[in-house]
Amino acid sequence: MIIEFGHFALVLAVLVAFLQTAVPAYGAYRTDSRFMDFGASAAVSQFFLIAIAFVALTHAYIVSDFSVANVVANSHSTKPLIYRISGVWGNHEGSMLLWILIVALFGAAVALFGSNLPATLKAYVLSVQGAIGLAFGLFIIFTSNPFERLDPAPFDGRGLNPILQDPALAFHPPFLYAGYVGFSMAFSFAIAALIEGRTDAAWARWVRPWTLAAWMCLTLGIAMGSWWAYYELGWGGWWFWDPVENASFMPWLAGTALLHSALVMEKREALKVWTILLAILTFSLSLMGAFLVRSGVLTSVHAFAVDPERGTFILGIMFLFIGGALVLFALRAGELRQGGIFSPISREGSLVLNNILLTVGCATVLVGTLYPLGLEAMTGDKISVGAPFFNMTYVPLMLPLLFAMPFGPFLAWKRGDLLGVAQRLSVAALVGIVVMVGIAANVQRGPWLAPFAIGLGAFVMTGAVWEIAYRAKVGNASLPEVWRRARNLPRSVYGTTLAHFGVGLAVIGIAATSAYRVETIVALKQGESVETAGYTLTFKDSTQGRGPNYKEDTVILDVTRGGEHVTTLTPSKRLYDAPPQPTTEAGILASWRGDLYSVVGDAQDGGGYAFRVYFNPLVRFIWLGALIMFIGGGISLSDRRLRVGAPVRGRRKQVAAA
Amino acid sequence: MSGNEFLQSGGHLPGKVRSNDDAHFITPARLPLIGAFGCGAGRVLHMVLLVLGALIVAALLHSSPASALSPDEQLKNQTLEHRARELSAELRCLVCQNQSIDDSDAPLAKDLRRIVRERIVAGDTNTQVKTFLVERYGDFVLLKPPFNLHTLLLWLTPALVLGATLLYVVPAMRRSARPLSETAGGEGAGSDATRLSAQEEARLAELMMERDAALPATITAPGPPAKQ
Repeated sequence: MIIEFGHFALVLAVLVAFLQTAVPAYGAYRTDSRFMDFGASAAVSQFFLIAIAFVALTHAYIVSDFSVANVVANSHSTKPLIYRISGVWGNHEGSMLLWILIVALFGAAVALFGSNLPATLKAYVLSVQGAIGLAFGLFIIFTSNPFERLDPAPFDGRGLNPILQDPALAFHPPFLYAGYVGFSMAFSFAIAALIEGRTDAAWARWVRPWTLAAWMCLTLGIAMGSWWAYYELGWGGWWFWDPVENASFMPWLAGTALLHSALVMEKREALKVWTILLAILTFSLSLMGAFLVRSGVLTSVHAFAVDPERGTFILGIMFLFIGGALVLFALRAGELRQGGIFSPISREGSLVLNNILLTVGCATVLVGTLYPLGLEAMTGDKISVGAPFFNMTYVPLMLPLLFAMPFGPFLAWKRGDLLGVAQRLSVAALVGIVVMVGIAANVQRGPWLAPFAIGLGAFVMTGAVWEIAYRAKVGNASLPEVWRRARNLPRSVYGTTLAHFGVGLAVIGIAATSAYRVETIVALKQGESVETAGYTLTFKDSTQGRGPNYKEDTVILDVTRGGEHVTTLTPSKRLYDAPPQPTTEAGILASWRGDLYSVVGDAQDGGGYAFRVYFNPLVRFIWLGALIMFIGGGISLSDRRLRVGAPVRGRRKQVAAA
Repeated sequence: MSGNEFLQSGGHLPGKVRSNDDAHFITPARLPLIGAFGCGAGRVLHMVLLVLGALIVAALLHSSPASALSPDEQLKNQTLEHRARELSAELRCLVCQNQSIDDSDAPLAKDLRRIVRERIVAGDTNTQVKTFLVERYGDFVLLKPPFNLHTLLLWLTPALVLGATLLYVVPAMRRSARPLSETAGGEGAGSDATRLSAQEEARLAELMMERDAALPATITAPGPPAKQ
């Protein structure tokens, strides 16, 4: 009954989405506020209806209602509660429901907090947001309905893949989706601006927080996925340039560019046309990610041909939105007034450079991901584009970007003084060079690029901190004065500093672990040891046991360093009951220097096991850096100037003060 | 990535791992994602998770994370072994999705690793080993595609996009670097439809004013002077 209720709510939500698409747009066209106001109520109702559907499905998972096909396919009565809940979005149908829930959430947010938006702009935004909800709502109902029943109901479900039963993974998809879908806000605002034929600083002020929030979620979502892959998949890798990873990385790159160009638009009213185009492209890349992953086209053209229903539907959605948006852009972009002018050496100029490099990087990833598909479709030739390609093409594009990064915040708007900025950054540059030379002198192996990249990371980090120090006049003013200045800096300055600092940290982690990882593959019998990266690992014992829903072989490795006991690692192999699937659990010793990472492999003829032992230097910096970027975004978001509705409240406060 | 099948060493999952001959058709009908063979299961699942759920896949295949290269495969000679590892990372496991033979635990990958080591021990250069494999399996085996007519566009993309962007940006920068008086009105003069109404102008002024108030003293912001 609850399921039917949810099903009904979903269908109703799609109908509301249709009205939300049509009515406010008509109202804005006729400048009739009665029709425009309808948009806000529709957006809120749509959100509540989808929320009901989502809660109904979640309820079916929690109580293990095996008369629902989707629950049978993806859950099991013995699973812990958290994984029964995360199972809701751990499958195709449920994850699409989460997708439209987030679309509707953003639409409702505009409806509720957008009272200070111009009425027609708000109406068009809600209309576009409604259209996105409508398209995906239809997709769910016609191709991926999670509410289908099974009769007779089976006794138990098939269970969730054990490697997915993991806390990091439980929250990975919601963050990723919030990021993907969050960019739909920028898209809707861009379409609204094109329809209206105008934008202004207020437009950018509205778009920026939404983009920032989406970017934060996507950053965290990608980092969570990478972290999970690192410790769960058992070979210590953290990024593979896999098409599905690229599908999430491309919107991130475009979104990062959008974040920076929207800044120029807000402060200087320049780059309007470009910002609008970027907003369209960013969400288009999100849509394309959905298509690539959902349609099976990545597998092979054959898989797509075998089951084309979903793929064709999403392809249709993609063409409708991307094609429609680009046509509108081509027709109307010329009407947008170009704003402030600036010299190439200026804050704006540095942000343009940021945009160029991120866009080219994004295009490289895009073409690399799609090229094999296109080539096979056109010529029948099969080629592979894998990690070696991306490392060779994408990475060099990011080096100048990193180098330019500390300069940006120091440059003045309109016309900057590059020499002056370079002088101010001399300390940061010195730190970078010292780090680079220190590493090159002390580590004899690895590619020459590694010390350079690590030095660059140090330069970026120091440069970021230096900006705060400079603005607070550290060393040039009395301590109380420095404190007063530091406190008065806007939060967005701290946000920028933190985010840039996080990038530098991540770069150091990436470079160090890629270049200086130590790997040992060895067969050990009980009592034997292996030495790696200064540690000695001794195979002490192996035990067999049972967990709640798996059998487990655990190996006990005693770790010593310089003769002193450090820790005991217990890598293991598990065989789950339902579904019957083996997994490996790595034994990891985490430290600031790096991770000692051990995995146990096959039992060897003649006793003992195969072992892989890695030392991954500074690998934690990668995810720590991403976390700091996320926090930086949050601090920036809390800046009063960015907060939604701030102008109104600010005005009230001024009045009260007077 | 993933490496081997711990508990099911050998990795032969009936019906899941196919021979290279039918590599083009490995995906069972109705399986939405590729890579449903013993080799990439861990990886496949990772991908699935990235955007969606993995249940369908999980139900259809019994994936297993694993360690690819085993100790007995390694060459005694460290230099040769190092070369073999580097080469392996650039060669694709043909029945896996986007996985190198160094990472894969599929039987085919194991065979290829053995072939690579045999060729290296026989004195082949890295190029000769690659040529040997390309002759048998085509360019598909190379994770870094060769530079030829078919991949021209792929390799030139970064340069082309960068060039196109610069061609657009540099003249635009030149234009905007000219003094205000020359450009004002030129591109800017909009029709009535694009002009702000008096009410909108007032709102904008408020927004700008507030921003100016909040900006740090070191930045000079443009915009209408704040009313005192």
